[in-house]
Amino acid sequence: MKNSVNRKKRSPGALMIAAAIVIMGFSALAADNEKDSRADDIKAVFVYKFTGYITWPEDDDKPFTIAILGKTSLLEPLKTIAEKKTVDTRPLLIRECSNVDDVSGANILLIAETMEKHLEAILKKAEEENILTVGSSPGLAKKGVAINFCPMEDRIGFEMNLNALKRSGLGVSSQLVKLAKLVEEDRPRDAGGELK
Amino acid sequence: MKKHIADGTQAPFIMKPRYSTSVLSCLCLFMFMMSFLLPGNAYGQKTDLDTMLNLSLEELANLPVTTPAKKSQKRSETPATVRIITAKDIEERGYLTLEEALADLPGIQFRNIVGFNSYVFMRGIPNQNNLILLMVDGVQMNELNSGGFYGGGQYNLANVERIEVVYGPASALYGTHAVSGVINIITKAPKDVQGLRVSSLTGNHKTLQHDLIYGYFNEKHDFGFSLSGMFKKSDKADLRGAKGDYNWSDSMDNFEDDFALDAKAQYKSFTIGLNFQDKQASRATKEKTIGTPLQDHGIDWHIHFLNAYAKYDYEKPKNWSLHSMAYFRDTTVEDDTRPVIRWGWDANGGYQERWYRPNYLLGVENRVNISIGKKLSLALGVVYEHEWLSAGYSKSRSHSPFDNAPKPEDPDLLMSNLGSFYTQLEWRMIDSLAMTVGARYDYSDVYGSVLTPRLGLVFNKEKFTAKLLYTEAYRAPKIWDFQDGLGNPGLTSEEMRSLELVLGYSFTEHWRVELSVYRNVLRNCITREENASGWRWVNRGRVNTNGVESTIEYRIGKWKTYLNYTYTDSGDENGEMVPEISPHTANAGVQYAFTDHLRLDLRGQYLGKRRNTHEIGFSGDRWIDDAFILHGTLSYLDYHGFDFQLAAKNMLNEKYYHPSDTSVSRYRQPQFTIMFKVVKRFSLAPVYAKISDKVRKQ
Repeated sequence: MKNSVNRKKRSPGALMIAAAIVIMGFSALAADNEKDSRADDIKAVFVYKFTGYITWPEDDDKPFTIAILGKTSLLEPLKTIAEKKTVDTRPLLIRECSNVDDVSGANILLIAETMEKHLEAILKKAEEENILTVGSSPGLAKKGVAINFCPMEDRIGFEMNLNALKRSGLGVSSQLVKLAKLVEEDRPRDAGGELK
Repeated sequence: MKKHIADGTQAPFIMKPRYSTSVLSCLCLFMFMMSFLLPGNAYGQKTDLDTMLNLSLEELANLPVTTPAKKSQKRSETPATVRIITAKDIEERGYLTLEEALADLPGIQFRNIVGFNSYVFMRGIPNQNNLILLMVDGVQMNELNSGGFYGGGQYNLANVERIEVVYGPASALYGTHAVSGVINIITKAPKDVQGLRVSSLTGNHKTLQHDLIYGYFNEKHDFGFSLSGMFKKSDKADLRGAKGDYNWSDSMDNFEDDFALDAKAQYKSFTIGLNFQDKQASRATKEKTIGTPLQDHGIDWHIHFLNAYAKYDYEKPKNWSLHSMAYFRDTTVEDDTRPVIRWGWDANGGYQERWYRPNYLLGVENRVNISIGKKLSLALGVVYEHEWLSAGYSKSRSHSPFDNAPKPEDPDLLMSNLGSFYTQLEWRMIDSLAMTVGARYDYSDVYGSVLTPRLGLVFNKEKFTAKLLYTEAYRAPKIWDFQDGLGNPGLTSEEMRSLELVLGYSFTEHWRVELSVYRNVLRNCITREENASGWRWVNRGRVNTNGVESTIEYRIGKWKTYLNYTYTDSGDENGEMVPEISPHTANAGVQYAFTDHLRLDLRGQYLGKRRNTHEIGFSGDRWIDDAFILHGTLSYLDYHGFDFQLAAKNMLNEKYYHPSDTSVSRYRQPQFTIMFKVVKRFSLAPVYAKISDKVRKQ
């Protein structure tokens, strides 16, 4: 019952296909190591959209500020958004920061992966100044960051730490909560906000 | 048939390559040159961002599409018309079968035989479910011997994350059967489940369903698994005697028992999974039994589908990714299937039959997605499949209608091979315009070589989307086509060519309209030919379809509404209207959330008048009347972890019919059906925490 497959001469077309695969494979490997721009765009738009679902302390006369602590590929899309959009009537400002003290006065703080070692100081600052913290690394919400992007299959989703929001004195819309995956902190905090 | 497959050189139905090697060479050369001539230039993110900024939060978090391009893409950017049924839609609308979920989409009609199968017609072409490719988690679910998938209740919808429905030919990525469209059912990932969910449903027509889903995911170790099981029973409708147009007797039975099991385990980039469906249903509605010696109770059709797969997705580097999958498929008509009990002129002249038809397939697919600079992305894939298919049904017969037939012998298994290569190049020409060029080359030792191309232009500017698509597709006949009825070993493939224009506009983030206009030409159609001796499938004529699908969606606050209208003009080579297809269909739905917990969903379906394949004895003409069907669901969600749902199907108890292509005059559809469902969710996080604490203390 064995099956005999038709044997044909290899056609020039087949050889061309093989050559194309090999050459394009190599050219792709040699291509520059670009960031995953679509995911960055989605995250940046999410960050901007969050502004409409959080209750901010009233401070209408100042620009709405998104601080970026450390190097992150979300900077470019956020700058593009800031050129086009406002938050209510407030201009949108993107501020690059290299240390925790620079984030003073910001409304949202985007924490780059490289700055996670300063997390304790960052969270303390966020609580003192009613800043919404946003991260993009596994487990950050459990460590006290208010909103943390996480991959959900082939989508971009986000986790939310309601306690962290509460500690920063920020209210959140139930519409945003519904979309988030709610997480609780690994280590509970005492009343003073220090990690136990 | 056996001879043809066992010795490919003698097969009379080998297709000749439809494109010369010079075309192939040009395509490869084009792709090759592109990779060097068009390196990354300035990044065109403005349009993407503009479009995204106009989306609502829900839409932004909405599911990207993996089916049309075999890579993640936004729906507006895919070179195809794609419509999605989400897990939320399934839950809120109380869908019980795959057809119920599809019935609210535009462009889809049915021949539901309210029995062991139900046939889905996408974009105006009647078929045996073999012009649509159905996949579960990316692995085909079409029955191997006939190439047609099975409609019905065996799909475990509680474990479905989303159903992606791709309209139009897609053989350029998926090969044979992806002619009218592709349906990809994506089951829930362990991460999506986390915890335990149990559900029970009961309703009239002896309807009963229990399902269970359990999922565990450990984020720290990036490991998780999920398990889901479903058991369902239903008689679906009362078709006895006059209620079924006297096609069947007062003692006919029409049961369906379904069982499904899904399992998935994931560790980092590696996933293994299993999808199993078992369906045992009455076969009474296959043919008319009144006035024949056929018995319409005690007969059944028992089939199972098993897909097992292992996938590896390597995506660490930013500019390329590798996706590998190995899969095993088993679609077997089980040996306890008793499809025929026939009475003779005297008691001794009758008999019972048992049929058996196992089929297996082993396949591997490897795909590389490459970003070349900023403007080009390329998908390259290779597929190899080896099939073991039954040469036909193995049948056994008893000597009396009272005696069981003996177990059928194992049938001969015929082997065949398929090797395929596909490629798809997406070139972002300017910020708002992308061109997709793709082709698939299939070589089968049954039907020879086929090359199917595809070309798409996708324009996205702020709130406006336009797509211009040219696609080709084919369906190669399977063993069942060659052998059904009187048989016809000379069958060759059907071929489809399609041109489509899609326009979409979002007035606001709540309000979107979309219009698809297409022309499809199906040539060399495989159609059923009846003569005095019986029937067989033959290549004859063509179907030209001109169609328009329009949708409006409006979602704001507590309201969710949709309206769609479909115009389908399907004609044969003589310009005659194709039977079983209505020119006009429409759907409308409205959902209102009274509170966070209480929701009402109402959906209406209008099915226009359509021609039957033959004169309907009961009414004396060939027309199936139009009908309006109303369904409603009232849900009370999240009451101390419980959900309660009351679902009413065909609320107005409309007496309506689907067409028939067999001796059945026409198919009466289910009467008013009411069902009550209770769902309970258990969060197991506290239990895990306790266990973890105990382990730590010890």
